[in-house]
Amino acid sequence: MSGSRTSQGGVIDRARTMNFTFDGRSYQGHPGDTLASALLAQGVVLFGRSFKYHRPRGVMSAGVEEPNALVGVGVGGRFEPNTRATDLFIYEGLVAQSQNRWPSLGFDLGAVIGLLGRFLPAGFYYKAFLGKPGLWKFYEHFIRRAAGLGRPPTEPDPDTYEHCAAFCEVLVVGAGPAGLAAALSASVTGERVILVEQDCIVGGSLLRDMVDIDGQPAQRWIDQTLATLAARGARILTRTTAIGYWDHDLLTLAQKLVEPGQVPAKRQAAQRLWRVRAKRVVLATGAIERPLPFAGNDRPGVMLAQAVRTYVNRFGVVPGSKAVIATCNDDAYRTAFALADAGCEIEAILDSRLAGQTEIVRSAVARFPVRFEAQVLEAHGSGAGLIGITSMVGGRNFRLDCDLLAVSGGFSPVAHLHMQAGGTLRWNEDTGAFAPETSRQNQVTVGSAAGEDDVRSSAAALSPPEGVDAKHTFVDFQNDVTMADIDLAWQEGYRSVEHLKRYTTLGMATDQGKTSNIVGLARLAQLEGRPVPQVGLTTFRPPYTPVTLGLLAGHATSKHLAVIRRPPLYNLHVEQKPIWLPSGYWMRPRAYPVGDESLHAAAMREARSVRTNVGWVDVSTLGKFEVVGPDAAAFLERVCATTVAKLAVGRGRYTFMLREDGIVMDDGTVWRIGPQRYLLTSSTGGADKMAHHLAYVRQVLCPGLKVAIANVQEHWAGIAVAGPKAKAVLADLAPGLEIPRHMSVARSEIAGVPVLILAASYSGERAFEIYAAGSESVPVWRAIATQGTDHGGCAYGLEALEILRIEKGHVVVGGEIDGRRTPHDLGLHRILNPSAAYVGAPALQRPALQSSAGRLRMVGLESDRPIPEGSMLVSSIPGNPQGHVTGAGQRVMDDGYVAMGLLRDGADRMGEQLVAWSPTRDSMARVSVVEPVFYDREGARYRD
Amino acid sequence: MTAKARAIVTDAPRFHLQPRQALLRLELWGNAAAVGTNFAAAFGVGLPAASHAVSVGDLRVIWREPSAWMVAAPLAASQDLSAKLTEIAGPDGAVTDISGAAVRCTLTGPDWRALLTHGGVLDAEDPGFAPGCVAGTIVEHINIRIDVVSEDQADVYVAPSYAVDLLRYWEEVVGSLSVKS
Repeated sequence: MSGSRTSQGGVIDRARTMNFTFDGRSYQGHPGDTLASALLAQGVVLFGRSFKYHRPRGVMSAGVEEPNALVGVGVGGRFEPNTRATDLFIYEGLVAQSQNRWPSLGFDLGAVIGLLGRFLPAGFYYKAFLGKPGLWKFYEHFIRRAAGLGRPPTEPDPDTYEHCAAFCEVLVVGAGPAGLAAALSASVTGERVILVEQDCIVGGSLLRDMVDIDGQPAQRWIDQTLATLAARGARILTRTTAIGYWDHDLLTLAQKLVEPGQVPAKRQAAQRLWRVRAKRVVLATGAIERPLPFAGNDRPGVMLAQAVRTYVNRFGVVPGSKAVIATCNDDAYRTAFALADAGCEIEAILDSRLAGQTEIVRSAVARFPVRFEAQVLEAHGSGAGLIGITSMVGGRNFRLDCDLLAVSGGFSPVAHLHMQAGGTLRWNEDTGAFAPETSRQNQVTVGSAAGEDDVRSSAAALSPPEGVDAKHTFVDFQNDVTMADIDLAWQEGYRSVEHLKRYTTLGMATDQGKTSNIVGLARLAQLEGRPVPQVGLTTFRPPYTPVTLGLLAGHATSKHLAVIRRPPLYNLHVEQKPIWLPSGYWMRPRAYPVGDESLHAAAMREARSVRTNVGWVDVSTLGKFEVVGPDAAAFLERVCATTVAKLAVGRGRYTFMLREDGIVMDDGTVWRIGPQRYLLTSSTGGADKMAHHLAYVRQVLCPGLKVAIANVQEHWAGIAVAGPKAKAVLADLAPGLEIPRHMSVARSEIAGVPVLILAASYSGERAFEIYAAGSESVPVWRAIATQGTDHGGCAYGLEALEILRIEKGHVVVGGEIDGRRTPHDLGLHRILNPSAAYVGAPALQRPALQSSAGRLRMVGLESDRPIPEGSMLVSSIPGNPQGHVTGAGQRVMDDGYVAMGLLRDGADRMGEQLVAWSPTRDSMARVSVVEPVFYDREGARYRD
Repeated sequence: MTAKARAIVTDAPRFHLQPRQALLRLELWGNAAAVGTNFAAAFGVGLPAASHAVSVGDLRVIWREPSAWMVAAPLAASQDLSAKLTEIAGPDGAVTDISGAAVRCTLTGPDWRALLTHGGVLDAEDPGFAPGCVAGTIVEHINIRIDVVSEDQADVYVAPSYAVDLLRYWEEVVGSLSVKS
């Protein structure tokens, strides 16, 4: 094949040139060129090597369906493999390289695999890699090296990606003549219209066939239509592909703001993912031309006929000097005329049909050698190029010399989005193709995508000629699936099209079988002796074309991977340089190390400070709800599994909440802070769930109660002050305050800020939770820190908090409250409200929950060595797990280690000796099963 | 190798955090019509309908959810306002101070709507989403409430814990938007 540039014509800017490299060699092209057109114009025919057999491959198409010409583009973190050269518009400085070859594209040692092709049939992997499981480790090394198309980038992607939402009355996908006309029509009434086009310019097939439309030259009509749409406020998104059609007419669009590998302008994103909700969707996605089956149909120089015409008319590139056209329809004849007009010699037109009498055929017969009932048997190559073909005409074989073979096996409407939307297809015998039939959503398909083109073809044309070499007749070019592979799969019993796909990998590459599926399907139908529609179709799944992972991730990368919630005292903590711990979305201090203290050392120092003097911790993230109204107590009696109604004003108590199935969902405290006003606290991690639960109980279970619920989680910042000197610290902070006794409420001012003081203990020491408005909490913390330090105390973080709560035996959500525990399992049944009016009470009566036999129940564990957290509890190593450790730590003031755990029938096994064993961490500890309270069992320390 | 990206053409919107203000939640459990009448008598306008907000002097009354409104007011007016609303609600509702539960960020510029299309799921460009309209939605996984104050301004209420991340996200988005002039 000897491609060349015409002297004029095409939709490229011939006045300007751009420099780029391919495999290190410099080339030039014009703005508007694709990498494929620019290279073809300069005689390049070899673009890459095939995946399996490393066969030389060139350009087959001129669009996104390209299976062969895949390149890697860009450098460093912007390197993108498997980019279609036919869908990559060149830019100054573009760096592209071929794939799947070593050491070079021209001389690829991997091509030796092609010689072994007979040993690599369909299902090779399933048949070859058998044996003992250990052998897989041996195979895996080689398989992993051989697997995959292209190589991923090894550096982080420096670009950003955006996610945008858009809404419209009409979304038109595809800006060919049908799409443009649809958008024009839809925009008349002033409705919001979005028109998307995957190409960099609109026009679709009009760019290939510069026909007159509405009495005007195509380009003038396109320009006029665009101007009208713009004037009517339509949004036109070019370089944008509709990659998915989801429920409720939601479509996702992938917009390339720069070409792959290109450096975006400063602060600009590289790509944008649109989520578009449309009232109506018009799919004008066109049709894809199909190749023909014959030996060597994958050689460089064998191209789809419409693609050839596109290169000639749009890009001014003639991809050969002597061409043969092989077709089963009239459309390919236009390619012959286009090529001839551009100076290419037409060696022959081979038409598999009987002699036709259409106007274009008659014109062709008058100008070119046209052979009817003619098919290509084999394409011959020399090196990487095409040198001729063997054709079969009327039962006789002929050899024809050519460097370009333009083929057309008919057209497959692009029905991917229609099918993703839940539509159905009908088989059209006249065109030999599936076309959209009924729509499940509010969408319609128009133009070529609807099979409306008057191009008659048939599935029979997709059958290879008698005597063809099936082993070299390719069906799926990207995955090197041959006709022989399909035949073999069928012989081995793979009759379902879905099984065939998975066994042969037909249609499973990055092109998802856009050019191959229907050919493979036709072969299966032929083997089965059934009509094509009875054989069935594989599933059309998003995305329509490959997308980068960056596009899907959008903004959520690196430091933005997840949202961070910052408590009101966050900046103050930052000053103290703590070790941070993500707690849900919250970022909380885990410990405040001094000097080069380790986490453990810091946490133990902080915990000892709480046990001996005083400590203060930020508890702002706790869930907090104000429940107000004459029925507030009644409401809380439904939400909480403990009694609430008898709570006096100014008093509080521990409580916990059940799901409707009787399982403990969260715990906290409830405080009566006014005659009809309560404050309910819950865990940090469960706060959002609790908000939903309260709304559910209020609106669904108790709609008649006179109660109002306000989520004040972020309104109140909380600081817990704990330790034997906590009371003294509070007295210094609020002189004159009558210090509230345990589980009582007081109001005061600290540092001039109004505060609510709840006397509650989580650590086991005398403690107070001091709440202030979040925006005013910093001076409160500073005042506490000043006074606390004077009393020999220090701030403490979550690590110390955890150690202290384990020693005291308090349950925690995510640890002991694991979504499967009943109150009985956790020893909370003793404080259940006897009236049993709370949510979850009926479910607790179920026999399975009534019997505790065999259930995991909370226990304490003691050891003289560290107990591995999360380890399993066994009688001996190895052994069947009987439970697990939920939280573990070192005793704060004494020697030894303690833990909480869930153990089968645990409450009845006090005194047993077990082993806490973590084989994954290779650690263990012998433990004694004890009551889950290790410190101040009488509760004397938190009472005055 | 750089290229001028095809960006959304817009007058880059501006945004800034407003000073702290009082936020009171008024929630009714019954007799909404009577409370509405009381409210109208006291303030000259009725409680806004669902998904709407009204201004009354330096107060902004924003619908939150069925039978619940958020009243934004200057901090100094907090206690008096709370008492007044409590009186209006009478035995049919309650008032709770939630001043610390949200911060207000004001978006200005004719194309503030373009900013809200980023990372979100709301039809912020719907002409029907006009001044006086309110919507709750998410932007980049962050729950926000939008109060359209005028064609050129919208107030966004967000929980303080999320504010830093939201503003950082918007700073990046605004930087990527082209400026018309």
